[in-house]
Amino acid sequence: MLLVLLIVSFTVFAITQILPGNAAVMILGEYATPDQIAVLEQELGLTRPWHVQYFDWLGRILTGDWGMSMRLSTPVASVIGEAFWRSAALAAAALVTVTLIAIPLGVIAALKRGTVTDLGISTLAYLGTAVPEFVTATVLLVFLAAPERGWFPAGGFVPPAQDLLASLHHMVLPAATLALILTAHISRQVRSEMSEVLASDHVRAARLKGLPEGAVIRRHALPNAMAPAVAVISLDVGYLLGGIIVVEEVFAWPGLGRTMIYALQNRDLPVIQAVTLVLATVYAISNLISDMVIAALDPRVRYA
Amino acid sequence: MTNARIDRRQVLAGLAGAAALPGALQAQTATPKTGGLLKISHSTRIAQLNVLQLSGPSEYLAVDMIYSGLTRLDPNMTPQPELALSWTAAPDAKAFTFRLRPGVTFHDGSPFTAADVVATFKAILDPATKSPARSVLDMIADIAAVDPGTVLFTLKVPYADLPVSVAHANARIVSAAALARPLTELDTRANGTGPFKIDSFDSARMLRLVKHPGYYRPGQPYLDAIEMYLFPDLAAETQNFLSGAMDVMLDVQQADFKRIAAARGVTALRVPSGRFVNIVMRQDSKPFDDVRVRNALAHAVDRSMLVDLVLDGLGRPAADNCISPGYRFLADSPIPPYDPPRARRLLAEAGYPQGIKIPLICSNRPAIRSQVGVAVKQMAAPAGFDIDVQTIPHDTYLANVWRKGNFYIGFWGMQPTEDAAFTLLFTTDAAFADTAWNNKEFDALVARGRSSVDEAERRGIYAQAQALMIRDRPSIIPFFQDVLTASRNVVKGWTAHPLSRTFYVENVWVDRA
Repeated sequence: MLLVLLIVSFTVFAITQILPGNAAVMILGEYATPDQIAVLEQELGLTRPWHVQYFDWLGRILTGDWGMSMRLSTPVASVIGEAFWRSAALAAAALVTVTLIAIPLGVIAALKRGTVTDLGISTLAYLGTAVPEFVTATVLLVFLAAPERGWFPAGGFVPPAQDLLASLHHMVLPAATLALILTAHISRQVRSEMSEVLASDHVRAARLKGLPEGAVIRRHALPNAMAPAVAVISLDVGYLLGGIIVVEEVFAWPGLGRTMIYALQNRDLPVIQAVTLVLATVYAISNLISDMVIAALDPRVRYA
Repeated sequence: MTNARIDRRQVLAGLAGAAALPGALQAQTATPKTGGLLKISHSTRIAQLNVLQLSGPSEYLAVDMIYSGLTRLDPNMTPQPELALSWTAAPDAKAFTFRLRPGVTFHDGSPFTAADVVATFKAILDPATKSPARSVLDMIADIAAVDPGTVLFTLKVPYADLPVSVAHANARIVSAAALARPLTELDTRANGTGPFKIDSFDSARMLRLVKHPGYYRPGQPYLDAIEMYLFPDLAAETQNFLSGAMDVMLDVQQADFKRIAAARGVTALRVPSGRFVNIVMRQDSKPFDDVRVRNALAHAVDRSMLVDLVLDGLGRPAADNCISPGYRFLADSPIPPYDPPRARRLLAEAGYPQGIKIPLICSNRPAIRSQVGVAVKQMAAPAGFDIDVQTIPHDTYLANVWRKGNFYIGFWGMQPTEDAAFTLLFTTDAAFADTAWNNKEFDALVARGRSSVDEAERRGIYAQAQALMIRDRPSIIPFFQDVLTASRNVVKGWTAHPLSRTFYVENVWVDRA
């Protein structure tokens, strides 16, 4: 995992070096004079050779020093610390919603295979997979947060410590946007796995034993169908992290995704690196967890 | 009631002009109510609050509330007293004496004196501070405190507009004590003399300001607190404003203006400004080394149609003169008529009977650059210009095209004075010279204009300078774009300024009866 993170950090650094412009140019903007840019480049250490910059950054990261944001001139740790928890809350809300809705939907679709219910769920799922987040987000924003209805706030963030209810109210639309797409994905996966398992020999055997249908599904079919679904959920964490970047921008959610976009626009290298590392770590850990869950669900899978 | 209020200096007829007066008069005659919270939405991040360095549209609003300068510009570009109560110029315009307002205190209660003024301007003039104000104040040779209530500026060259220059957004007065500490502390903390002081600041989300009880205008500000909320997505920002969650929308986009103006309970405000998009035609390489080619393009652009198409009517056609009606010394500048056959003839005379095929580079920020590019491509085609519009990311543009390419689209804000407008882009030693015009006669006129304190003489000099610019056409300036903002009707006294640097929020109050 450490090797993966090292490769990720190096790749990101390399890409930002290829891009034209740098933080000094972006900070001072169009009104900057060349001598002002030169002074700032010197101050930010941007005049040093790239490898010196990279290994200097790497060395400090290993000692737990994330450096300073070039644009915001505050420590990176404080820039992304709070943002991380705000994003985590959003992602968690989305994941919980997805798990609670997508799995039952998939099971129902599989049980009612070929009926209108199945067709309806499948259509919704295809739609959800096909429509990108920024469209879903804008559609939700325009219809559910329309000024004349005012059901939901049109974006923004209220700290839970200030007003828990308002905080949750603000979270509904962004979380729903993220959940819609993942629900589509996962319910499709559960449906196909479940259909396969329901047609298998061991389910037939369970039914022949005379077990009630509910028990057949809960004890015999579902655990077998869940293992691939968990694998998909963990893959979808990657998708979720990408989705967060779009959704946070649209709904003015001050999380990691927004921080990332702002840092990219301003070539704020220490922040770009830190956010990438955090996202990569989250992805790696979620894969690890899913492997362990799969092992628990399916006794045939064993890790040395 | 819905009305679209138009500033009194608005020259164009149209858009709910009849509803204009009652709203404006009402705001002036009603007695202001004290108290209340004003929520302002904005779409660009407040990255920092260092008044000497910052340069973002919402940052300008924040520091206009937190800090004050020696002077502040009114909508007619005339400097008004702020921390300086009065000033006098030496006859040769090489020395200025400012008398400071007595009894002013900073937010922490410490008194404001001449020492703070001296320290602030010394910091601005220090290159290490990287202050955008330095380039407009570098004529200052020395600044000294005559006594605690008087400051003397000595200049290297005569400069009549110094009282305007010290109104620069980045020349607000910071306390000498704060300047003695590391400058980075100013990024997140502020001890100003303005009507509001910082309560909390989260760059990613919200800046909250509260009333400064010791503010030097008695009875003001009226509001108890201001909250500035960041909405990076324009659709979300508009929804929040229209739903009443926000009281003021700092910047309204042209495309949204009519919809917002038509909404209930909302006043949309447009203020004529001198900001412009210009088509840069570098003269040190072909084909724009020939003035006939530049003139051909001038006649290949339908300016009124551009105002309708790109600005949605929210602007005024311009004549390639960077001076707009908002400046003090505008000279007569007839709009070049759209005349493709004439443009074609000019091209043929210049040796391009087959026309010219050329790429036009547009940055993607703001979007208006490529909108102008695409419209001009269509308009100029019958005149023999085969323009290939290329939209590229803004950072690539800044690094590779800006001040290097020979045909691209610039975007500039209005300047406080003629001198600032000329020396920004068009004199040989202009801060951002990118046309390679390098006209010595023009340079000399600009230098003479700034050293004269005689109004009539300056008007004559600047008229000659503008005539030269129209004759040689260093760039195409097709229109001036209005400044657009909006407030809910419960908000009284919200205004916009052509420069978008001053906001006069101490005059704003809310009536939530």
